[in-house]
Amino acid sequence: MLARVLTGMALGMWVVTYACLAQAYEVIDVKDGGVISGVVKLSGDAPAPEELLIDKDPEVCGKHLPRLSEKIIVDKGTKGVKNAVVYLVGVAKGKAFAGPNAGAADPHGHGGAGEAPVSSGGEYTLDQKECGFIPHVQVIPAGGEVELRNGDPLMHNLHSYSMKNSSFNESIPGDGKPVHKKFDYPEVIKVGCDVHKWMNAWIVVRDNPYCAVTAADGSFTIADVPAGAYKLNVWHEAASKEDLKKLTKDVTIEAKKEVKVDLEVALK
Amino acid sequence: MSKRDPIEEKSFAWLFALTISLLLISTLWAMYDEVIGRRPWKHYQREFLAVADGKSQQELKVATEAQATEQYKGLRQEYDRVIKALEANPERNKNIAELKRLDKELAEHIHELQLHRGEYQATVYVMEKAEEASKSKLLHDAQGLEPCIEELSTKMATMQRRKKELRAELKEMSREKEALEEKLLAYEDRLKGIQRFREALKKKKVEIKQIVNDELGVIDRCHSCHAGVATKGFEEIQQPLKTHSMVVGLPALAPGLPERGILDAHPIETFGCTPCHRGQGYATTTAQKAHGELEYVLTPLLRGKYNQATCFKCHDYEIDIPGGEVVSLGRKLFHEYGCIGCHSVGALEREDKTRYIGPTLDEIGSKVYPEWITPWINNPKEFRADTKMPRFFLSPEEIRNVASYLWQIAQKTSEPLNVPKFEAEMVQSGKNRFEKTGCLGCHKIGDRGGQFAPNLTNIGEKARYDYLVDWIADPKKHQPQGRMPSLRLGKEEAGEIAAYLTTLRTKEPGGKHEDFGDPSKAEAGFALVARYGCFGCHRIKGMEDRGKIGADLSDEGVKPIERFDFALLEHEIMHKIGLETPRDEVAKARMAWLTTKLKDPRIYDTGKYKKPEDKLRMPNGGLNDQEAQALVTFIMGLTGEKVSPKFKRNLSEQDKAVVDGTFLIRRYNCVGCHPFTLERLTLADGTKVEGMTKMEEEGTLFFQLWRDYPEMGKKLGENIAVELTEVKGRVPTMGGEIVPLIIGKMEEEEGLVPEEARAFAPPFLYGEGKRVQADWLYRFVQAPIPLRPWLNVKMPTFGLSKEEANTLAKYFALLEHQEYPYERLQERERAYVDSRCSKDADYYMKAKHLMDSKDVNCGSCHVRGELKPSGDPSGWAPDLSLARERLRPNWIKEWLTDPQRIQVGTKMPKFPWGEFQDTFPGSAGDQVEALKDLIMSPGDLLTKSPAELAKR
Repeated sequence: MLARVLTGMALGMWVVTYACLAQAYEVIDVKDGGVISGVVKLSGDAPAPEELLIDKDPEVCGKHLPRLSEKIIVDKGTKGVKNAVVYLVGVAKGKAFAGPNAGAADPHGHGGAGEAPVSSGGEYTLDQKECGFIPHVQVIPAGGEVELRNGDPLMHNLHSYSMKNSSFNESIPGDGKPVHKKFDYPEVIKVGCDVHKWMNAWIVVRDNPYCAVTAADGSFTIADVPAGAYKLNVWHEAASKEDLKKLTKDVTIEAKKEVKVDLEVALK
Repeated sequence: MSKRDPIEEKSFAWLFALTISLLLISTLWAMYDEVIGRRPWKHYQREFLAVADGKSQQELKVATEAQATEQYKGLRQEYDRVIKALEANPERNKNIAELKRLDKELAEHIHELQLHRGEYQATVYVMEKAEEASKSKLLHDAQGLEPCIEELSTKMATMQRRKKELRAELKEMSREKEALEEKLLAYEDRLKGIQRFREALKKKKVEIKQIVNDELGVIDRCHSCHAGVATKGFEEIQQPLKTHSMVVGLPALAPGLPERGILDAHPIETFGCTPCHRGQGYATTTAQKAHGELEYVLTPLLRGKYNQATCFKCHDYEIDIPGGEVVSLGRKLFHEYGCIGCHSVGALEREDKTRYIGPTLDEIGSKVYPEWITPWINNPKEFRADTKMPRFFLSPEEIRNVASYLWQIAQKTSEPLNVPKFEAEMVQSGKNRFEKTGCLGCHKIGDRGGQFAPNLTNIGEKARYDYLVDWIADPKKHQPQGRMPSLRLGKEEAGEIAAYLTTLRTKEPGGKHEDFGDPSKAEAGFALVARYGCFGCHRIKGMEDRGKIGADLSDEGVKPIERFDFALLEHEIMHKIGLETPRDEVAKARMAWLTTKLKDPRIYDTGKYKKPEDKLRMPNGGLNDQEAQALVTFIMGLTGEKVSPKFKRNLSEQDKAVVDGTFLIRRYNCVGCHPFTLERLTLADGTKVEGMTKMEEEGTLFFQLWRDYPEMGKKLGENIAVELTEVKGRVPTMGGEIVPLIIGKMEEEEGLVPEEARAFAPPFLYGEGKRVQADWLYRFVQAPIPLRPWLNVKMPTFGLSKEEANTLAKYFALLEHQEYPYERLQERERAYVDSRCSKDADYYMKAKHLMDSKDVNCGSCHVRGELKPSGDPSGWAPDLSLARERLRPNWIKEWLTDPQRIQVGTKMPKFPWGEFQDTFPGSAGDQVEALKDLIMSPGDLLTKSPAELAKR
């Protein structure tokens, strides 16, 4: 029995070690870092915004009809795509994660109740208002915790469809207590509500802070990048994995200089 | 000088000396031989004793040193400190004192109570006998004693409770002490164990060791040489001294006990060695003799994987023998390749009953294009590489004859079919339907799908559209005994699928004219069908009663070698296996004969002059090496012996149900769609975990646990990340072959992420016996109904017999240790409902309010009879009105409490029971209980909408 407990502990520690390894990102003071900026655009014509079918609990969910899907939001003028995530891979050291309140909030909220997430205790949050998730897309660091909330007066459940991180299905009654979840491994995670099928959100877990969610005009900026050569990837929920792979770009950053990268994503 | 007598004078001394020395030498030789030469085991036993002595001495040193280590001393000191602290603990001493006091007081009270009771009984007795007049006074006296007795009893009960508490507290206090004791004991036990081993070793004599078991016919002296076979710890040394290999890790007899090895299940004192290994157990003079690897011995030692052959004679009921994977595979192939259609094997009753593995052939006229038939019979693998249909040795002329016969008997029975007309636009929807309904669980197209049923990659070259439609719509009409189930599709739906299937081809069918109408050819064909035994696998009209055409193989594994006809190839085959003649090593020769025959069944006709009708008949199944090895292993195990049930594996009712159920699950390929078991991993440190692989990436396995592992600090539902190199053992999930295909389809078509798409795959049947009522399952498997509104994949109707349905229901129930077949579910009874209502008249109504309240709102997803949720049916959950007949009440409670603990990843949310006090005041348990009661209740409350209830 003792042996079993010991081996179990050893394994547990080992698992923990792995978790640490996965996020073995060293924070250093970045001086004279470079900047990557650009716009993620749609290739081809923008589809007409998709109207969500609100077929449940209309008194709460259907207050502001018609509700538009947040899946594809394209700026008519620039053809910039909102809610794409641009990120660098394989960065061993660099700046610290900016924290929950920086960048994740988008004042031009689209769909939902259009309200930016409010973080009381300086945490990453995923809120639900009028049967929509806020924010629709957010980036968090590996090992980071997200506060899952329900701001509606009816029950929602938060079902995470993760593969590397432990998946969960937690329900929160109307205006109930929030639930906290930790995410250890870098991964793109879809979160849905089984009660209201149209609801979904994306949590992008990254092992380094060099990533950005594109704004409504498709623009993004990644600052304080230590000089060096990197691979730049882009993710968008409506693009196929294969197409996204093709968009991987090599970027070389020089001190204090800005590199412009524009990307064109195709929808599946 | 006397004359010398030449005879007297002649010295024979040299002769005497010679004979004496010869006698001496032969005596010495005989003595040497008797003592040493014919006793090789003496040497081995001495060698073993020396090795064991050295090893245990080393261990003794280590164990003794361990007690001198700082660690041990530290433990000791810690222990002394804990003892001291414990003794000085005022709490503890107070408790002990109180316990003592309580014991004393209790003893007094008992005495007092006995006195009072005696008095009471005496008074009552007197009263009963007394005159009417004084009765009431006496009764009054007796009743006057009652409160006193009552009070005393209550007091004593309180004291007993207090004692229990005190004991528990004391136990809690000495927990640290006990933990340390356990650790210290581990050191001491180890030392003692080694000392005991060394004592026993000293007493060991070098002598012949023997095991006798008359009932098994065993006289085994094998361990005279194999001295370490039953002693653990000698796994690394050379044979013959080595410890018996574990071969298989059998599950522990009870939780907490160690895993068992093969010798724990087959104690050497009972079984000896030869029942499993063969050989001549009593021979001791040479290894070759003992192993029986010499002329004329019928049962020489079997080596390597072939040794699994011997499992079968005792384990003939089981289809998966633990550690007997090769022989089990052989048995399976013997059935699947249709060997059983021609060859009898006494022990294979189950397989014999289901020996028709091919379709009946009385409809080929309407089913297939005539030009497809002759190339198919000529070489089935050319059309379908993975078919089990073997290739017969037939000339083109003979093939035409067989085809003519089959064509002519079929024509008479075929009727025109009423089917929708083929339209090109049906093809795409047919493809979709084919992939969504679940056909890929059994059938393969291209590189996707199961291998259970015929590969349909080029089915369009074989089968006609009309027939396919009618066949898919109602397979049982065409093949009543066949295994293709009905998917309850209408003609239109079946038409779409058939339309798609007919497009699966590389060349246009129906072009070539074939004439199979010649009656004389059919006559010749009949003779061929009879000769080659086609009726062993295909039901052919008029040939149902024919006997099997092949040799009876019931004792093939021990058949004398003279009866294996090597024909002209003896020299060649013997040369390959390094023997002079087959007699030299019978087992080796037998296996070589069998392997050669299986790989090329007509090889023994090579170079011989035979008339066509005398040639060997066995067809070529195109076996690969692994399959041939498995079949040979299985056949080598056929001995025809009747082993006493005493020595066979004692299969419990549950074991039998599992074997029978597993056989059916494979027979109908339930595993093609449903996953049945969890995946099991053995990690580098020996830890075993159960769950499901979520994904593999860059050599790391992300594994979801389906049990709690407190020692790892992990709970059910959580993931662990393990490097693949750290995974020492991996037993995959049984079944669920279609799951990845359905997930892929949903990803591609609906844009779902894989984890989300999993809900659209056939349900996981792990723990099914705990979930559903056995009698419901019995009915359901015979006549399935749609349960999960969101699924496209369909549970087919298999047309199971009552026996089969019973076997399946029993399998699931007993697998989970549930009652079978009768079970009383009180919740469904009127009396139960009444008793609930007598306590609280609104009990069920309150439960109903809870169910319909806005934060629970089961009806938001669940169908309830006629009440349907809003939204698209793909988002609905199962009909709750079916639950009463279908689910087990305990399962409902567990499910409601935490659905993720039963099915990780389910869409069913976990509700915060214990809240909702406005609707249903009470604890979480009360709320769950009430919902369960409502779901199981006999009335129609569940299926009423709030509006209807308001009317009442």
